Amino acid sequence: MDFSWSDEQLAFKNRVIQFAQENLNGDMVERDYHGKFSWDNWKKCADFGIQGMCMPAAYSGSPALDIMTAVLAMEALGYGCEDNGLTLGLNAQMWTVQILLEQFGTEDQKQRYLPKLCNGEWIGVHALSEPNAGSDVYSLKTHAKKCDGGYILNGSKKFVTCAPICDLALVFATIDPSLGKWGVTAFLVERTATGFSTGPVKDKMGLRTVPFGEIFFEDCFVPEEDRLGPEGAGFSFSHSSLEYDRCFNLASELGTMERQLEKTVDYAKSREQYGQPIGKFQSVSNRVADMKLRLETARLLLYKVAWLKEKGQPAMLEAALLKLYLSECFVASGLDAVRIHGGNGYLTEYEVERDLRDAIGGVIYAGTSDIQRNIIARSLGL
Amino acid sequence: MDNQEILKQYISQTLLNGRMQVEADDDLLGEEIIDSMGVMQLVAFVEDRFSCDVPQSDITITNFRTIKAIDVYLAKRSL
Repeated sequence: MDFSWSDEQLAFKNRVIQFAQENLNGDMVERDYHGKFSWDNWKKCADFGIQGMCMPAAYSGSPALDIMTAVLAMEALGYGCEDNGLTLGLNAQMWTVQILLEQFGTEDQKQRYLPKLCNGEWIGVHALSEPNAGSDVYSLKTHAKKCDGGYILNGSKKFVTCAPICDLALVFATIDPSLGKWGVTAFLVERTATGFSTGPVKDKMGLRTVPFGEIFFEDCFVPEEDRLGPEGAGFSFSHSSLEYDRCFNLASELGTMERQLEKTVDYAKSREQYGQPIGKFQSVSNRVADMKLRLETARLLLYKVAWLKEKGQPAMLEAALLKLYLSECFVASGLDAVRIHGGNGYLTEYEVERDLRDAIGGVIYAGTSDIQRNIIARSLGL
Repeated sequence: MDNQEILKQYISQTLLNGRMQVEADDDLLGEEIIDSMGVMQLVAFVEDRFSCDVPQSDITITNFRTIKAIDVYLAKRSL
């Protein structure tokens, strides 16, 4: 296993950081307070090539990056971009919609949707969770009834990242509830489809710049040609995308942790109490050391998952270890950063507390920490 | 040992930890003998043991419902 980066990869990483710092960080406090999504920044990311970075040139206009380089790029984005909501939205589309479309879509489906998703014209969402199907997600109730020429969808989805502003939804519905997860099938549904509607933006604790919400299907007709893959393959598609999503979204969180650590070290060096920088007090410096340890150990797990995915190997156990560890580290380090910044850290204007609020979602979405522990235990034969 | 025996042994002894002995016609999925994680472990085993790549789109009830179905799937793959 070789974790060294080439000069080209490092140069690309630096370009992503510079792009993010120069373009994506304006009005963050204001946008977070009002829960405003930035379409401008979404489009800027597309113009830079973020959404299309792992898509073939035929759809994105530029050659696809390898997985390790893409992980490095998403880490760089998390470091340079202070808008954690934006990076979550980008990762959600790239790794739970685009990658499934690219791997399992027909040529017609790819031609219709991938260019628009890559160039930022459209936003695509992964619609899986339901009001009564969260951790037990494959007990979903949204039903796809076969009809002449396609399917009729009825049901609803919840906690869908970008649902209120989406143009395209990758919807998981069952064609036969008696088959359990084996009836789960994936469909591509456009916002303009009759019977498709979305609910209002849900107010939330963190990640406020990316809207979450519901999607409703009321006798929504989906033509046969808009089914993704065979009937019953939805379960394995969703499962597969989770490994990518965990890897890349967590890469962005890792980048944020690095930025957070640097900001905290700077503060601990410059803030003086009792006649010396607070970093000289061991109760402060020990916390900084813990933050650094979390950052570096989480990085090793992240790169291992990326390396396994690059080699096309299964990474179920490693992805669960990574999701559990990195997301919990992000929360712990976020809290340490606030403690070290003291009263200032508690103030919104210092932009330290926002990262902590944003981190909390990570221990819940895409499989809670407890579900990750279950996966790890099962992988060990328990 | 033929494919079905290899699969029976792996599912009974490793996936189910010796809790039950599966037969070639047992409905592994409909009767929830193995759950989602078990299926993924089974797929990884099949890929490794039979030196083949199982695309995600092939992980369906038709191909993995029974040991016989997996055997038929493997036979089709080797054609």
